[in-house]
Amino acid sequence: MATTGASDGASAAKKEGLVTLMSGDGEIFEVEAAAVAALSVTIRHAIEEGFGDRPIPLPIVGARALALAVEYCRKHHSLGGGAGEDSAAYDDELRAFDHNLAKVDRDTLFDLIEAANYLEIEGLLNLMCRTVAEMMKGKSVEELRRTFDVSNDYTPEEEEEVRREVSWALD
Amino acid sequence: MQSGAKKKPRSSATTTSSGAGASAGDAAVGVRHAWAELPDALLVSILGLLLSHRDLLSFSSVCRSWRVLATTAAPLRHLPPLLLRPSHLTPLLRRHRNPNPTFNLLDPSSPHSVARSSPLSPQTLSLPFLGLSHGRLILLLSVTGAELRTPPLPPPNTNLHFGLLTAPLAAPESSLLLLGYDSFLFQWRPGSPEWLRTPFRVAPTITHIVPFEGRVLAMDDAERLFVIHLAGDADSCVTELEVSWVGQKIAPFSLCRYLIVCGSELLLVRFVPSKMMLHLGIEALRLDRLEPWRWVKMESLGDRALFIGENYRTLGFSCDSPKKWGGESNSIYYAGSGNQPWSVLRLGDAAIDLSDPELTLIKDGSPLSRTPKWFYPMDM
Repeated sequence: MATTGASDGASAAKKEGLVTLMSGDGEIFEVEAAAVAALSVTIRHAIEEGFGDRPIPLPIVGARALALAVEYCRKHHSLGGGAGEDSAAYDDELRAFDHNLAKVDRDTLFDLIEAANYLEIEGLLNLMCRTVAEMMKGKSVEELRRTFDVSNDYTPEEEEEVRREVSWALD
Repeated sequence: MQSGAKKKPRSSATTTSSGAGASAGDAAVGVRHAWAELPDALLVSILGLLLSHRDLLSFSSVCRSWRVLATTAAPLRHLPPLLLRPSHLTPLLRRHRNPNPTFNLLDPSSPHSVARSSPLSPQTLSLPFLGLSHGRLILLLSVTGAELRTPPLPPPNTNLHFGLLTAPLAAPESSLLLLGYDSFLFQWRPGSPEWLRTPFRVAPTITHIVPFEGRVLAMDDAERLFVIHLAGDADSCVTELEVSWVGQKIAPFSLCRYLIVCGSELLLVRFVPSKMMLHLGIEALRLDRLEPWRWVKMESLGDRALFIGENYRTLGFSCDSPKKWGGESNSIYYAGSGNQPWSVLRLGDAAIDLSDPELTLIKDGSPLSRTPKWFYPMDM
């Protein structure tokens, strides 16, 4: 039932229950409205505001991150909140899905955080924040700079000062 | 990057201090990388998931904007404070041979880790201890961390018993306060050429000073609450605040008390006589700041843990959601001089058995340098 991925036809005939999303780099996604609206506050509001047949523009979300975010919504919509005998199995499947999603490379992780933040998908945002926190744990300052590609903007004097401020307690 | 985005749900909730020369948007800082530019609120969410002081300190040392964030983001109080504990308290025979106290560092969030010796030099440790705030150890003649040079104190300057930074040193409102037994206050603003010495003119004696919601509050022996005007004129630097007590009289005497800031709340925690022989009770009161101000007794501390020590002049702290690091909510972590670095207490009458050797209470007479102290290692 899934209409996955990009298609070129923004003006393709609208199918029942689908909504069209346009990524920041111009790709068009036709996805189940119920799934994305249930998990993304931003898209829910856009649908309520009546975008109708027009594609909903998502200017800062790239196609790759959008595809993953949509996949997340779809999975969690179909399996999440499940009750009854299947819910334990669903939980396991969701956990496995999340676990796999968290294995993305660093750049995708960054894009996904921004996407989840922009689309207001709380579960995805929390998952990505947890992933980043796990990556930070136990790393030295230099390792953090390397891992996250953050440049050291201290002067040597400032850096020495920063180091001394904490070293009396923690070295 | 996404500055043109029309919507940023978790956009900057924290304010980055612009006065410190370290603002996140500083353009003269070379190439900006995307990770350093994640919205503050996202970085704060991530910080809230780092459950060790070491990880937080590493994060805060990466670059200027992360440092500003780590030192200004309130949610960082999701970790318990560390305990600086004189090692003479540990039952070692050789403890009496060493006249200079040495300290161990303990972390309640990893209680199984070995206590580490603090790298403070014996020379530093021989200086009279006045306080520990915003990651700075305040010693007579010295403020460590990165050592801070203050002008010499004008005489008379003996009889000092308490020191406090009102805000992180980098903050424009930061002042170093030293309190004397003879009801006077020394204050110094970083960078200023001189100390201001102000008499208090309040009897009984001020015993606690705590920065709270942009003001500096003080409490005296009789549990009256004052506001200290740091910039005010020297004759009227203390004003009493009218605070009533709800549902009870002031305890005839409370044996030991603590003012603790929990976010936007101020708590008064105190040991009070118990109905049961040889026991004490602990109660906590919350300052209700709807006019008129009132102290309201709390039935529960809720999902937080408080940290206090046997000398009530040391600062007390509050930590939210302690279960995150394996702590207990609705609890008071009490650091005494027994064999255990701390005991976990709960509110209520007869909460403290005075025959318990672990609960060495109320040693105001003992020098601060000889008592355990809770502190946060970061200048926040």
